[in-house]
Amino acid sequence: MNPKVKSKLEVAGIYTIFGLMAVIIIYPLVWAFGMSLNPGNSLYSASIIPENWSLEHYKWLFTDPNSDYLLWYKNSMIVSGCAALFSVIMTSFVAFSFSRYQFVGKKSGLYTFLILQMFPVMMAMVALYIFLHLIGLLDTLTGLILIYIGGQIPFNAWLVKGYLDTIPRELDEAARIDGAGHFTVFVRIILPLAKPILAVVALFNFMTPLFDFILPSIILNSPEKYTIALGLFNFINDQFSNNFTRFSAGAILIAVPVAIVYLFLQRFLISGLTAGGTKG
Amino acid sequence: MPSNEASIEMKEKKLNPTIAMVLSILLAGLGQIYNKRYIKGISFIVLEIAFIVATFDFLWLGLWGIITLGTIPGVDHSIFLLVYGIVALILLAFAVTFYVFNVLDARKQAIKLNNGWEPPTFSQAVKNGYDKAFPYIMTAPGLILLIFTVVFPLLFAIALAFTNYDLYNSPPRNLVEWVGLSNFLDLGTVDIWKNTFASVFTWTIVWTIVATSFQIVVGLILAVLVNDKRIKFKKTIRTILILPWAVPGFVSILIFAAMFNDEFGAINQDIIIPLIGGEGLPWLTDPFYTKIVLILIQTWLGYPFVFALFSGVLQSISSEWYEAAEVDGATRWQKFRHITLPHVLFATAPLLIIQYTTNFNNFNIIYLFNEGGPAVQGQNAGGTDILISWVYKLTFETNDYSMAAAISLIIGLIVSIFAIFQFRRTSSFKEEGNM
Amino acid sequence: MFKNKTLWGLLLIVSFVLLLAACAPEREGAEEANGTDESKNNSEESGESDKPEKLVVWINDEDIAEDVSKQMFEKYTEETGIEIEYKRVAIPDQVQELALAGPTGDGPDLFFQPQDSLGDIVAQGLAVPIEYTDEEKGQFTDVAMDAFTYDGDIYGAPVAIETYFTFYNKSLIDEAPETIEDVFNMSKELTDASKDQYGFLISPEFYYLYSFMNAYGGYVFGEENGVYDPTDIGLDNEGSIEGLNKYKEFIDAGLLPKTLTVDILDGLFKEGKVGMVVSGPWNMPIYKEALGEDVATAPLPKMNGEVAPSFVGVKSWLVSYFSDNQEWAADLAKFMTNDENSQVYFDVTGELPPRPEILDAVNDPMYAGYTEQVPHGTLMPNIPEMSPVWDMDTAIELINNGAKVEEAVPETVQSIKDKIAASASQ
Repeated sequence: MNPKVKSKLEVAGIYTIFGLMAVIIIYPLVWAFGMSLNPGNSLYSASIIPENWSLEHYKWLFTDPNSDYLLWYKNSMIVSGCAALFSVIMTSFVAFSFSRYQFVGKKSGLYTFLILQMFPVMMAMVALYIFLHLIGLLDTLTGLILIYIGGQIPFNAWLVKGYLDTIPRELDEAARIDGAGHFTVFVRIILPLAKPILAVVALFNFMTPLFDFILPSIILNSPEKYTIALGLFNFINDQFSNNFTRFSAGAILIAVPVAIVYLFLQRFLISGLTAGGTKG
Repeated sequence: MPSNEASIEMKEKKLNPTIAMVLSILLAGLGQIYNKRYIKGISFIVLEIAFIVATFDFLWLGLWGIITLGTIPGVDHSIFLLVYGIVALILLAFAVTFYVFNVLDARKQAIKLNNGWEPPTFSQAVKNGYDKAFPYIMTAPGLILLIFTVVFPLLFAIALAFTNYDLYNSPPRNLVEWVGLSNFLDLGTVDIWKNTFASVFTWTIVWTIVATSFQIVVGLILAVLVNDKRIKFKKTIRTILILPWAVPGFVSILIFAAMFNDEFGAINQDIIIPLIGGEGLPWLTDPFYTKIVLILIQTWLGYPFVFALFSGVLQSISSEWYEAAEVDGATRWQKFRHITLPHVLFATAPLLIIQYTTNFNNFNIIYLFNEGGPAVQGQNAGGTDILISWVYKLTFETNDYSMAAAISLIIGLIVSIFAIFQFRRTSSFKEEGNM
Repeated sequence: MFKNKTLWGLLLIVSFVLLLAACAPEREGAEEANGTDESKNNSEESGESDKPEKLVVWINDEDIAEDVSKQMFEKYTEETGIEIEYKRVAIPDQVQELALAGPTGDGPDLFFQPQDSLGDIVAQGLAVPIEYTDEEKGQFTDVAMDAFTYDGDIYGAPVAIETYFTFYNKSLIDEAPETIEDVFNMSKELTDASKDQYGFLISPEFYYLYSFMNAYGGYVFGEENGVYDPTDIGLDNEGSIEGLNKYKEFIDAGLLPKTLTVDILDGLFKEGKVGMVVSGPWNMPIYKEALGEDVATAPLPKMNGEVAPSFVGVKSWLVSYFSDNQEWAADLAKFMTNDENSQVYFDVTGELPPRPEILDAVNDPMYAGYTEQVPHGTLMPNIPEMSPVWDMDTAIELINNGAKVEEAVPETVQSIKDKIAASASQ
């Protein structure tokens, strides 16, 4: 076969694969959107293109007196925002130390914690509950945030450390000679250069709390403190009031902004992850 | 342990490191005062007394609690006592660390002073201390959080595995007791536990390997294809391919669960039946089909991460490699096999390992898709339950806390041994040193 | 030298541990309980205990539960001056959450549960008995009192008695078929699965299908004088298998979809696509709203010559063990289940309170099926060994997927027995 034709066929083949993938990726999402436009609340009668579509579920979420949707949204923003911010701070502190200093525990500290985290501790949520009660943070967003921040440190610190290791040490040494202290080096030299990976960390830690429903279901008792994932999950988890269409509507309202942010940041995501996780 | 040199020096110099050490063992700070480091010494003493005053009652209750797990049913709540006990142990560990530091510090400074070292002025001392302590100061907040969010629950889980905490030994009516290894023995000897454990474990391994490998292979193929020079609209294509990652995982899983409903789901109703006919496939009622769907869904959910990672790495492989290979007349497969693949896998190995261990414990997909179902005969868990979802059921549905804890420990040991073994083989770990 | 040191260290630790174990720290309430042993009950205190400022109640996580409870709480506050704080917690989550929140003081004074979870509750000691005078007891049906009696103590203030029966759509069938065989024939005529149209639907769950098993002689636990024997399980006897085979005829004939759920069942019936369904009083207002005058109720069809038995459940208020005001909590529970409030409950929710006075006064034809079915019901056992019995759902799932009843049922029952034995041995 003529190599040119062959190449063209190949390219066509590759595009076909992408087309196929696009369908597989987009179909469920479109389907979910279709569901959210169905009147009524059960799944069986709903169809992807509803005959008499309506925005009633969206309206319910925002206007019904029984709907706490906006409250959940706000709580989630608080939890995710704080978790992202403080995770970036804590993680970069830890990663900076691991990357630039010698101290007891440097050698295997991060790996030890990474490994410890692989132990499933589901039944230990009871322990966290009692502990939070002990320090008076039960049923508070603060308690929830603290646990999220703590839990993410090993993996993210490991990522950020990998990234920081690629920043030449000569830079901080030069600053040191100019009289900069430890903290100044960290804030003035390292942080600005580490922006891509810190963006990744921020994104990860914004997302994790946003979509987690297990931990909040244990720690948060009052419905007015629920986060969005927990609230949405309750829409469909309730034995007697399964409400998939309303769930779809609520889920889409959170998924769309998140997806946009994600896609917007994908450049960072790819470059940050690659550099942090692989060290070149 | 007092060394000879110390006792020789004692004759010539005023300070005896052993005395400094012993003093600081008696009361933190005394040694420092003996060394004439008054401010340091006094602040140590104040710290120690404050710690004792503030925590004594709690430590006593906690330590008593963790040993006895309570003595009066209805008044003592064994689980609370256990938690208090673990918190007390952690506090004690902090205190002991401080104490050891204090003792070593007293001894070291005494020796240093003997050797003619001039004690720095206060502000100088603070500055030196800051220099030395800087990495500790930076890591301390993180470490403390980690201890309470990672180590503390783990200790609790370990402790539970050696108790008899279940529905019938449950506060407030009854007390929980330490029972040693009996949970582990039951797991190996009582039939219903043994059989379930064996079958769940097998599927967990298959699930982990197949689902994760699929995820990686699909991610790799797509990354290589997008990277092809002839392909246009790369940015748009990447954006679409990364989309599943941007949608909340639990939302996607629940959507899939609805789509795969045997009777009313879109897959059977709109695709299988119109195209192939028949009654559709038993996606949720036949363990075999459920397993296949689970693996496919996990691939859908998980490949974008790998794809993003690989895309980054591919872009960083220098084109010289390929040009050199072309000169040598390498085929495309050879180039892939000998340049692309090693580069990609070598660079991302630790992250890929984490992918495997994450899937091993991937509770969300198993539980949300079909709650571990469908049911199968003769075992304590559903047909697609992996260890972690089984543990969840034991904990929250049947209150078999202690057994759930025992199984968790076994899971943890398996995963961590695998992870340690794999991490050690990867290059990035070797740079860190040993474990 | 080193050895010696280790030895001394060990000795020190051991003696410390012994010391610790011996000297229990002071705990609140320890002395009181020491004296009176296990009977930690507020009845020991003489006279009325101090009036609390507020009581906390967990209601079910449903709008209707909130509507009805609110009315009663307001009245109670008016009468006694005690504020009521309520929280919506889904019934299946209440026990778990109470076990966690109770000891920390974040738990309720009153919570709401069906009697089949009573065994678990009592095993963990989460509730305390409510004292009833004989006169008060007489105002409830015996069934309701039995349902919440455990080891001779009454643990609940019964709110509603519920069971399932049939609803039928008068626009599709004139009247409810009398026997299960009639149901089969009717269903054969009406069913057209490709159009989602069915004659008769029953959710494939042990809860409902127990009717088939019980009608022909199957039973959960052997019972003598109101005491259940968890070692005697009759779910795999001949009768039980015969009953399930009757059910299987529907599956084999394609008259019942294999993965039916209550959601789908409700949805289809509301759309008017089903002749007859098995469901409970909770759907009364919902079906009525969707189908209007077309919906009517009847007892379950006759099987083996009698109206098929159904599981009867009773829902009650329970007083939390952790409540500081157990007496007042019991008082509130009794207040919410008195005649006046039971009537309110019935009016709002449509569920029947287990009080003869109210039951006798019901004359709405819509309730015909409900009230006729209740006397044919069997109480759901309230011992903790009931939990593994729900694994019967497994057998039913297997049967739906084509397994033989004779094979699936004995195997599942065996594993239920194993589980009961395994938990008893510990």
